[in-house]
Amino acid sequence: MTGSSRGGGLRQWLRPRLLGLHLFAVVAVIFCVLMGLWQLGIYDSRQTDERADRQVVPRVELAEVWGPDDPFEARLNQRPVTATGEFAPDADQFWVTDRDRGGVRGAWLVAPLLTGPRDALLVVRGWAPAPGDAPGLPAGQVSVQGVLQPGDGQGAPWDPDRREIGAVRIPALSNELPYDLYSGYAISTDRDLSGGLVLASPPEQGVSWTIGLRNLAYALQWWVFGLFALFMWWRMAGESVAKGDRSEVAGTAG
Amino acid sequence: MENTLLRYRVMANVVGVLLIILILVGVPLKYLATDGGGAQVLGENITTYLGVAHGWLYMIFLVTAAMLARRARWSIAFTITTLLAGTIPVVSFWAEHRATQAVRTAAPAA
Repeated sequence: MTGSSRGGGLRQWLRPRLLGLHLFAVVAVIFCVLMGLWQLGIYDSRQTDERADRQVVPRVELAEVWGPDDPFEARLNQRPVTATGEFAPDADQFWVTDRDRGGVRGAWLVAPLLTGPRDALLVVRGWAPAPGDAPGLPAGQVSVQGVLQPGDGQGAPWDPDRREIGAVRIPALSNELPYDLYSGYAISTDRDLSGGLVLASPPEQGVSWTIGLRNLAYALQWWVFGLFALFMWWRMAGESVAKGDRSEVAGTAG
Repeated sequence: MENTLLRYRVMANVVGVLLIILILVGVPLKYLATDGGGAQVLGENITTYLGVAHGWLYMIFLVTAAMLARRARWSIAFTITTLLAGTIPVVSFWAEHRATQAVRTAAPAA
């Protein structure tokens, strides 16, 4: 009795009347999954576009976009600039420790570039596996190509004997150097200026995950709809089968 | 039953009105208005924020409709057409009317 009703259950699930529902459920779920993937693709391409947009900006003179007393705004981040001025004396150079390059921990050599009588932009000349003797700086008026960066927030304190600091903390460095510092710094992309050091690589371009958020939300919604379609199919087919079983029983009884 | 019906009707109308604003106001403004103009920006905002909000509200609508379908023992075809009609501007109101009529005919309010 139980066995026959189970066999009847499977037959019931494959009734022609329900095949339409099964087909509809399959189409609906596939449609929802594909629509979700499509929206996820748009989200990805928005993120890629945003990354490309930020990198492909023309190089400009530093003075055109940023002054020594201006705050560091988001639009300046990763901005390629040409900064012109005279380097401070060799002895004003210092090392920033805890700097990764290609997964290797090392240090940056930083030199203040004087853009005015007292104003200085900190320029990262290059990377070395460990702090050492700082190579000499070019004399006279120079133009340096670099990428702007905001100052760091935290890091080991200034060590006056070794002339080392754990991060490019502009406020802390302002106290140690006899200049008015810009509120950010530049990573030099000039091989001539590196003095034999490896050029430091600017940090990975951070693009907010919220760019194209609408499409990410749509993708999630499509998949939730797909799950809902699956749930509805389960309920409707199940109820229809249960009803069919009952009417069959009623039919045989009567 | 009355509560189930009421929940469904409220969600159907909310989703229906938002859908009209979204499709018949937001989308044309976004794509037809002058680029960068106030109207275009308004269209962009409507499609962005209302678009996402409508998606989640539509889910709530689906659940209320599914609950009503179960309580009122609708046929599969009637249930699916009622759910799908909620995605078409203006037609959603007709579907809501049809569903309400069906419930009232089957079980007249006391």
